Amino acid sequence: VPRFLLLLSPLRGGESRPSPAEIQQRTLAYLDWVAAGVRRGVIVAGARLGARASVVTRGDGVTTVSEPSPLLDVAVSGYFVVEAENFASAVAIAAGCPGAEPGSIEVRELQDALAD
Amino acid sequence: VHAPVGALVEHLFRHESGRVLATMVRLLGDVSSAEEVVQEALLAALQRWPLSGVPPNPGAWLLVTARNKALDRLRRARGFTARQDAITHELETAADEPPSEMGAFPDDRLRLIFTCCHPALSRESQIALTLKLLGGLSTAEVARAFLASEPTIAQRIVRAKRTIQTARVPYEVPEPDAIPGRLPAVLSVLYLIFNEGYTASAGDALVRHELCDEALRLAALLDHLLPDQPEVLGLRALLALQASRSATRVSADGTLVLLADQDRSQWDREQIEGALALIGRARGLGVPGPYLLQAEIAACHATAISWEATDWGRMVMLYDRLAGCAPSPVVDLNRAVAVAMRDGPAAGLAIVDELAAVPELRDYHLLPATRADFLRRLERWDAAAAEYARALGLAQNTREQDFLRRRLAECEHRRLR
Repeated sequence: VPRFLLLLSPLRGGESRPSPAEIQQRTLAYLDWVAAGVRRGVIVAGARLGARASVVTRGDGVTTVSEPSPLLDVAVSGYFVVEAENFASAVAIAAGCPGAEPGSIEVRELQDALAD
Repeated sequence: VHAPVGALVEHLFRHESGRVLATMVRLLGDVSSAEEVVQEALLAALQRWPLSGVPPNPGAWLLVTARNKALDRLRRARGFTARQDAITHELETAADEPPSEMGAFPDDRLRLIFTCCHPALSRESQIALTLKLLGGLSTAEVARAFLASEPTIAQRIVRAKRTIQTARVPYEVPEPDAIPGRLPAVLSVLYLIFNEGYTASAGDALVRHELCDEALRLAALLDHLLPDQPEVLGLRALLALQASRSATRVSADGTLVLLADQDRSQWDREQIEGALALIGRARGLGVPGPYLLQAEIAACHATAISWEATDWGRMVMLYDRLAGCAPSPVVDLNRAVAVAMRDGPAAGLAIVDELAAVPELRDYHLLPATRADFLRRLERWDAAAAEYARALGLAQNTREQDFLRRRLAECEHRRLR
């Protein structure tokens, strides 16, 4: 079954401050979505990106270790690997994911994966 | 990955946020900063729990996370003052010991309740602030519940917070000898929150139901934090007894059902038993105040097998005592109903005729409605119909209007026979 990568990019700031009741509703929706996805075997893997990050750059025989671009850090908060019949169904799965609401989810097809 | 968590998380954020917020207000000394820190903690849970699973003690997790966010905030702030140093020290030492169920932290909600209901704030602001800070409702939700516009409520809350800052409303529990003076405002706020959910027919039904639950929960919390206060026990019992009848006060087609006609087998027995136990606890604690007396009256209804079999002699005695400690024309009107049940409708009518001169009752639809009921029972159909028509002109609630219209039609029918 083809696998796809969902990259979560929640919006930060900007939105009006949600109340505890609203955050609770969103949490419940997200919990349900993940639990259902795992149960049905649609979600194969997933994680949130932690705080520690470095960028290792290699070139011309020199390897440097530096801070990541702050832009990238803001852009992606986590990912899911999902199984779907085709690209359109992967996009449909992303459309139902409450994990980046408000925000966006980038869907990428995965090719040439290592054998399990 | 995890067991069904809906039940675990349901209401958790709303209910725990009040407790965590109360602690953060104490630590940070400012309501708005505390709200921000609590929100960050809740959003962290939103991002993490779906993947990591809900922690075994979610309330403690939220408290620790908010505490760490507060600590970060203080560390980032430049120019530490002595106060911030002291707070940071408290936060750091407390961080080693995760809070247990009731917390290594003292429960700060009692301070927050008294701050929200401080006499420097208007009653409307007290209600809005209590629902927002202790109930975890958004400005929009408070507005929906009270059928007010969102900007109106937002302004009320902003003004209340400003008053807390500029008038230096202290964030503290009043001294024991000041509590009797400060408690009525708190009880009144909780009672109004409950009534708003219980009596009004318009608005968002779900939010209205939650208002009742919220008032019951806050009253139980107040009783837990400030035990053995007869009026707190009285209010808790009163709210529980009213809630025990909520399933029967409106019929399937949405019309109002009077207490006399309600199906008593459908009353929530568990809630009634709980309320009776609260009243039992309150009885030995001194002279009963208005809430305990109202609870006694509600209990008298709750334990009677029918409207007719109610102990009306005791009812009249309770209304006499209520009129003694909290005089009001509405209490007098209710007392007239009890007198009419004990001594007959003519005796009730005599009292109500006197009340007709009271200015506060001039536009109160229940005065002509009660008078109409006595006249109906005396089979004075003409006069009864006229009074029902008058009540109908004054009633605001559509369910009550429907009820009055039915009674009016009945009297007119009998008159013509």
